[in-house]
Amino acid sequence: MKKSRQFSRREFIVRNCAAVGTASLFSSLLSLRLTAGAVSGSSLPGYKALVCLFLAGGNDSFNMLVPRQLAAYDEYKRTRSTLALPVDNLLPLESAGQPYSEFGLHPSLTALKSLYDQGNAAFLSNVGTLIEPTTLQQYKNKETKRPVGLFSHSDEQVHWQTMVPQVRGAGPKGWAGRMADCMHQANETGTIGMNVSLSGTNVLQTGRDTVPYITGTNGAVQLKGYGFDPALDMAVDTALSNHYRNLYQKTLAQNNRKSVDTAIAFTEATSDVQLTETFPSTYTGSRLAAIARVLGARGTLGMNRQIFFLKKGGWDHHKEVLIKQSDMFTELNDAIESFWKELGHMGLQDDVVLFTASDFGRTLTSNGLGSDHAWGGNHFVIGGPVRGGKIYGQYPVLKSGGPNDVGRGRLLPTTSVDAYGAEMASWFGVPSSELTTVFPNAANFFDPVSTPHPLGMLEPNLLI
Amino acid sequence: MITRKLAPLLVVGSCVLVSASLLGAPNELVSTVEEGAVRLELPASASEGTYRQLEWSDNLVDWEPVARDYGFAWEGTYPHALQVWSEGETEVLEDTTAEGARYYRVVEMPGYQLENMAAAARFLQQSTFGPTRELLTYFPGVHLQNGFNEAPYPFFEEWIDEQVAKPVFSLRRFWRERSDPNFLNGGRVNEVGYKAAYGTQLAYNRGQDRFYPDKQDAIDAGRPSNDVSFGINETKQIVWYQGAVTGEDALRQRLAWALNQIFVVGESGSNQLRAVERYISFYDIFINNAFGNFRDILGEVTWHPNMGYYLTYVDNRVENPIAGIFPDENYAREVMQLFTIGLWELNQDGTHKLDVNGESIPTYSNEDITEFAKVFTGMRKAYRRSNIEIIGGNYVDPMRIQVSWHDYTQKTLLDGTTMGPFPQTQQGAKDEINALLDHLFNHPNTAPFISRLLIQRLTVSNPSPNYIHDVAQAFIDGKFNGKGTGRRGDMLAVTKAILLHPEARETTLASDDAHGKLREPLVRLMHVARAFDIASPQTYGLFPFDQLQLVFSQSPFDSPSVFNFYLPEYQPIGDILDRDIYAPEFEISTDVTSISLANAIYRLVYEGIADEIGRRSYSQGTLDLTYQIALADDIDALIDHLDVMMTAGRLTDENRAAIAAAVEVFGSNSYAARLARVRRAVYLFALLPEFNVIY
Repeated sequence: MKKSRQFSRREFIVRNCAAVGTASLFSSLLSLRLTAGAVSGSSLPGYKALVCLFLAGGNDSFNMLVPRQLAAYDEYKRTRSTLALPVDNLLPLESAGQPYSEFGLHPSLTALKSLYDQGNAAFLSNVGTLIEPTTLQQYKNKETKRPVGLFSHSDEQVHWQTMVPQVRGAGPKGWAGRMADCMHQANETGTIGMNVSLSGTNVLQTGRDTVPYITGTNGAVQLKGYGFDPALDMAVDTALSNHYRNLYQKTLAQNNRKSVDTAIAFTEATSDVQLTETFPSTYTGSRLAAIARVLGARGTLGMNRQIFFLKKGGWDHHKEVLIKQSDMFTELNDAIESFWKELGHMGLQDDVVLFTASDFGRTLTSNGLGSDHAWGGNHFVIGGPVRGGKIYGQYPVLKSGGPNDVGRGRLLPTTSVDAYGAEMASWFGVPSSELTTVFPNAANFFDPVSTPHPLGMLEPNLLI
Repeated sequence: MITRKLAPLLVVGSCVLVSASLLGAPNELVSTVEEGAVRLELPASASEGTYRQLEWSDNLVDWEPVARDYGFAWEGTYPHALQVWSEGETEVLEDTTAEGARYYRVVEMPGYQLENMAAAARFLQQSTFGPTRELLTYFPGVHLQNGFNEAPYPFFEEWIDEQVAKPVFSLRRFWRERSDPNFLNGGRVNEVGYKAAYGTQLAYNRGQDRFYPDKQDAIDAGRPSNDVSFGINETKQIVWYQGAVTGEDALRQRLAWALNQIFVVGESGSNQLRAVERYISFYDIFINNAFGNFRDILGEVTWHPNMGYYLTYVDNRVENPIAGIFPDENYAREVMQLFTIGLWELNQDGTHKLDVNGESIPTYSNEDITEFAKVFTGMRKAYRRSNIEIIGGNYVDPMRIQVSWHDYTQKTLLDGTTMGPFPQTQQGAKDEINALLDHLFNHPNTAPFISRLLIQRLTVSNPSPNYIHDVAQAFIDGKFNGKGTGRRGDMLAVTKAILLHPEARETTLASDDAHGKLREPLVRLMHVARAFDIASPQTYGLFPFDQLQLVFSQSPFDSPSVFNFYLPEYQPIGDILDRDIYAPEFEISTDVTSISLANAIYRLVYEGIADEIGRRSYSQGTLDLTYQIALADDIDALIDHLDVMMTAGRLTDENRAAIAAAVEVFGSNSYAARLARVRRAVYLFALLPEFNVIY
């Protein structure tokens, strides 16, 4: 009996800076080093940070950003049926560049509205995971490649983080992880890696060679009893430094060694940071406060480029979307308001960009009290470098059977997550020549070299 | 000490073959190349207690194991899962993945034996929340000179059979006997009445009112008055810990915990955290059916309103085309993806079936989901009744059918056949839902998919195809070693197949560096509590651990989503990723949680259940270290004992010496000194990779 070849995730190998092995990879690495000033041994200039706010479960974002123009609102109301928000409650927004200019924001998002009106926030509409540009006709005829496991939480959450949706699973690693692999010289003097997570392990920040430093709302956790008694320390050091053949033992010992040591340095650096704002004591509020404390310690930690990850779960509103989403938006809104003010006190509003991600948008049509898994959705970006006060992308027709509807009001995205990510990465300092390393499918949608800001949503990187 | 012995290169065909030999035993490889596939004739089976693996290399520098033999027969291992089969006396492996030259060699290593007590302790780490001195002392056959850990492991099977007969610790029963005085014996499973002799020890809800134990009880017992006061939300966890720590049915408790991590209902997203009976009656499905049948579990889970609420199909309705409202798709998706068949079509050994292009085949499409969403319609909460805790309706009894809300159209199944239309009655809808569950239960994927998940929870992270195949066979046959109900889905047969498989039992596999798993953080903490006879000074003898998910990302009833605490395919970067194998528990082993777990054990050892692992600043559960303190003036004896209780005989010489030196400093002249020795030794043991990983 013969058996054919097993499918392996290794068959798809994402080009990776750190995996030097070919001439082209080597030159990529070299170009990065040159732009980064690594020849002189110095870090990237200035300071920049990205904050990813991941709305896990799939935010129903067509109730976050809603048409207010009369005909479009009526269409929205008809399609969403029991889920439609009353037009009078919406916070009015204006945007150029869309078929109509009147939009409305969910009533809980008052701070986001202010930021939008001040030009410090923008939306991107109907963005989602794609492998190549796809029309509805192409989708229906299966003429283009489509993400594996569409509409599934576990798949789409990972796709947003790997940006390699043709592969199931975390094998290709995350795009912030790849950025850290490529830009490892960005923080020459850094105590910790580029990536910091307030929500545990995640795919986004895991690269081939880098993992996020994970911290909690109370900062780093130090090992009890360690550092006071040489006899105990010696035993701990032996246990964590021994060579273990068993791979799980070896991995655990190595990880714990790093955790114990880094916690000491991290605590030292962050313990003196005092925040001016009182953040809400919610999940999101306490974590944005913790991020602010790390931002405050950036000098002591020796950091020039940082990416933060915060995952707020509970958005899978198959039921009770109207009630629950409203409460959760309030939590986001209040936390973001404090964070923005704190950035102001720190003088960092022009150096930090916060953006949302989520599994997927949800069905426009209702299942009674909620909505189901879908595809394209709306997102927002906040920060001084944002060319704000505008909705980017194409705000879709919210009609069952409309021009983007692949069924039940699941919308085919009109902007790829690659374009969204490229905006952030290019501002952050990834050279245009490296964008396809970070976003392997990017060239299917735009020319990364000539248009590293395919949407024009963020200011270009001026720190070179 | 394990050393790899290498022998000279042997050139055959386009491949260079390297063989190794030990004690003159021939380990030569014979290969032929045919149609681009390399066919290797493998050496005859290794002698007992010897480990051999076949490795390949593309460059003669980096060698990767691809098959192994630990005294039974050669077998493929993940990630490549190459097939091995017998041709007469000869075992043959075929490698179709080599393009161009590839080198092979056989590496042989001596085996590794454990003393009986350590072998039993290792087994109890896999099958319970951790060994106790009592379980070890009475373990069948453990005092025999020879043959304790030999296939087919009859002593271990005897222990399993003894466990099946133990009294069942039902969470629901424990709580009902100790909560609402209005509870009566209800005639349904575990619907027992309140026992006046116990009094109200646990909080409960009656309608909108909440009731708590009387603080006077604590005062009378000479305890602080808040000793019996817990938030009502914590009640279900407290009941769970009682079962994990004290349940005589230790195997059942651990299996229930494993099953509960497949059929996940988490607190996150619920607005009824204070409800008790709703959660524990759901958990009791796994307690009651741990040795029952998988189909019963799937059915009881599907009809339980706690799942109905969590995955939002309670009150799900037939499509309303006028209002543009469609059936909720949540359960239709997750019952397939997570509870039965998974995403890819599988062979019985867990490897993917492949299409003509060599690609994996999805088990279902989105059209299947929208179709099955129609099946899970018309399910509503049962009517309210007395004698159960009612919060927002009846979330305890199986759901009922509302005929007008069910979709009675004919449905298309995964294999293209149709079912129905069923009669437009309550029974018709029930029959349709159950027919779909039968369809999924009988799907060829379900046996290997569920087998692999349970193996990962109990014994190893990367079961070989042989292991998955054998457990799946027990699932399919309903029998293990000829014993069992003979009904597909027999969970006792599955349990035995997992725990009594040579891959779980043979200590020789210690030489395979990918063998074993990182243990769950909650299991590790429970292990320490059980191994050192935690005693409760609490007024009612409870063990109120609390909010452990904030400490190490795991606690009962608190999975962050239906995807459990970790994914089965999680790969931490480093050696495990490089080998392309899995280690789920590493997903919640982080800079924060891993150190916090060690600190939690420190707290338990030095202060008991208090502060960040409990509800109070004083201890509500304290380790009884009397036995260990008596050993403490003899450091070797103390460490030998802890090596059985905590590391199942795996302690390395280096770590033994380091711990001995660290505890010696206290001397042993006083009780305080001996106590200090024991506490530090236990804490240091808890930091060892030998404790945290089982292999």
